[in-house]
Amino acid sequence: MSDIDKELRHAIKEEFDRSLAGWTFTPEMRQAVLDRIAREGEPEATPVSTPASTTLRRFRPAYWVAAAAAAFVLAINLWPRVSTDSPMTGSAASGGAPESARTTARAPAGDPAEELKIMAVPLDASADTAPGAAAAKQDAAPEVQVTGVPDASGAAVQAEPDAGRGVEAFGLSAESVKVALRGDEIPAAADTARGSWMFLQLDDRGGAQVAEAPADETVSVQTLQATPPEVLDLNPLANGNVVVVNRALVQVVDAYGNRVVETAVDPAPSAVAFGPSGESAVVTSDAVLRFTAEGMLTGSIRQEETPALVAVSGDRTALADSEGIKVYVADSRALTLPGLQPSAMAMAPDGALALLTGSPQGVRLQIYSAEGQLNLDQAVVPEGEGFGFLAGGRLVAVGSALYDRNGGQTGRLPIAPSRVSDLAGGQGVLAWNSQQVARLEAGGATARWVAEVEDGSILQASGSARGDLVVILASTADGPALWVIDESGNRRYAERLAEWPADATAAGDQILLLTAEGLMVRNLNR
Amino acid sequence: MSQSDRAVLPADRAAAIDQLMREYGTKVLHLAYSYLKDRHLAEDVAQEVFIKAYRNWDSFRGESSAYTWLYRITVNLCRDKARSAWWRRLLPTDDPRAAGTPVEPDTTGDDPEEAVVLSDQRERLMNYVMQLSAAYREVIILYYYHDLTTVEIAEVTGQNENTVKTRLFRARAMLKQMLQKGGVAQ
Repeated sequence: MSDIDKELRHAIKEEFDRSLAGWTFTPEMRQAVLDRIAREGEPEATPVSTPASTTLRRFRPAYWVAAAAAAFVLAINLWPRVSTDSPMTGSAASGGAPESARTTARAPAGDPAEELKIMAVPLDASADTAPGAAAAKQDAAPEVQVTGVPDASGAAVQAEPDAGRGVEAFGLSAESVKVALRGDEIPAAADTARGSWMFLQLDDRGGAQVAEAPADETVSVQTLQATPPEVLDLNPLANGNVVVVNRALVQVVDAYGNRVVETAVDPAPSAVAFGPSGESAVVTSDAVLRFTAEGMLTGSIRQEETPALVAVSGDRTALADSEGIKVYVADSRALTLPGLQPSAMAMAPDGALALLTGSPQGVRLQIYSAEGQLNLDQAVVPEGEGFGFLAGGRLVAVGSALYDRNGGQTGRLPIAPSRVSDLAGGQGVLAWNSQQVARLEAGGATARWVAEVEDGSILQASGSARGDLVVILASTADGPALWVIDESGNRRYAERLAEWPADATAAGDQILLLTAEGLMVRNLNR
Repeated sequence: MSQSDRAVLPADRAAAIDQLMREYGTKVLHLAYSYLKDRHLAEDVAQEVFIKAYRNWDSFRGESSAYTWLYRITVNLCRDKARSAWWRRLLPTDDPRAAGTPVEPDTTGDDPEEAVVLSDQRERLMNYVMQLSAAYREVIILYYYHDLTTVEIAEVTGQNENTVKTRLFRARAMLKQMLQKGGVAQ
């Protein structure tokens, strides 16, 4: 070890220890863990992954044989497209909203009224798909109280928790597919049969620069020279373009790396929130910059304090800071909800705000209209951190529980999600946690498939720009692993990655990975 | 615990987790903090680490050391937390001391003035470390603070070792540059 290393180690240890001095894993924390362990009891030794009644789609070696054969042909056919300006195949016609929001739930672009009715139907009443059937069933169920409806004076009615009572889960029907994912089933990262990654270096001065990797190897970080701009987020748009936010720029590039729009951001952004249609709010130390879905800067909201939460929808932006919640229309403040310190916030397409407030022991779901009227104030018991509007803003997901705007619980997801959101184009609902990903039927009351990573933890799941595919990024015993699963639960793609991407998604026939060094694109069919 | 072998842990699952908490609880807590830069979140995650360790006890076959196994769970949970809908919206920007114990200049040396300067330099170094992006910060913290080798860091973070070495090299270069700009480096 060099002297510099020794000095660095000494300094870091000393300063880290000093700054955290006295802050330890206390006996109380230890006891809390032991108490939880005691409550849980002995865990299952082996997770059940293959119910006899479900169709387990195993990873087929034949897939790779076919993929290897196709790779050569596709590589020849697709490689020249790198330098063209044409948009991605099929994406422009999708018309749907981009993949799930980073900070707020997204809604499909179309009218989701029918979906709402269907999604609201408990599993055992899946045949009642006619409009109004779900509402009628809900009304008939005494356990599920429709609460929080404003009275004549406009005051919201407060209600007590009703989590789960009388509400069926969006369970796994016999038709639901259970997908078992294992990192050790994926060929090693060195596998070259599927061609190489196309690498788009996102330079913080000159825009996207395409660098083709050698055909027989995956690009490694050593191929880059410049200090990489720190990347924040990746958001595929319905037209096939991709919004990339890094520390210096908001860029829109097409799927082949051609720069479409670029806006310098200074000071450096610290966060980005996306709205239902791909509009975004980029947070810097002194302002919140508003961008259209096409990446055009439309305005700037000056801020003296960095907001703790940001939600955006259309030209409305909600910022939560130490003073409360401020809602802006364009760049003008339209509404202030003083004193509110929500732990989560989401904005519906109509401007309504959903908040989780209160303490961990007493969480409340509050819904404010776009005009600031409190329409619902209801105690909830979240199971999972997922939170946001679904079905065009008609439902609110609070953990695994789904509520309508009146506070009536209309359904329950089959998993306790860390995140839940609409898929683009009204293609359904995506919910996931560290072990499972569930894709729920938009036109039915059941989960279409549930995937479980058996030998690792899921770090991220996201819908594609068209809402047809789901990209799953997981940490497995064999390293980072990526799967792409289609609507039916079929694995369209699987790969072990050499390093962790900051973000991953799919658009058209492309997989997009945002790494510290830039955007990596690979064709799904390779 | 000096040995990494699972055999040295109690056969009873809960007792083993209890022992791991006593041994590594604070290290896990501090590692979580280095990712999340939020003490409350770090405390939640640290407890979750051991609950997850309990649930996945069968997956710990003793092939790796207990701490790399726990660190790996910690890293994954922190990444998961950092990507969660509630938290990801804002990248962490708080100073390591912002929510913690007030730091007084270390004046225990012979020359108080020199000690204050030294303390200031360390503080700045730590600030710079915490300003690194997560990918670079994690290798610095794991290597210099937790004394993991690059092989162990690769195991914990799921990267290959070459990536770890590259990031370590780059992170060092970044720190050096930051220190020079900040006037700390000699």
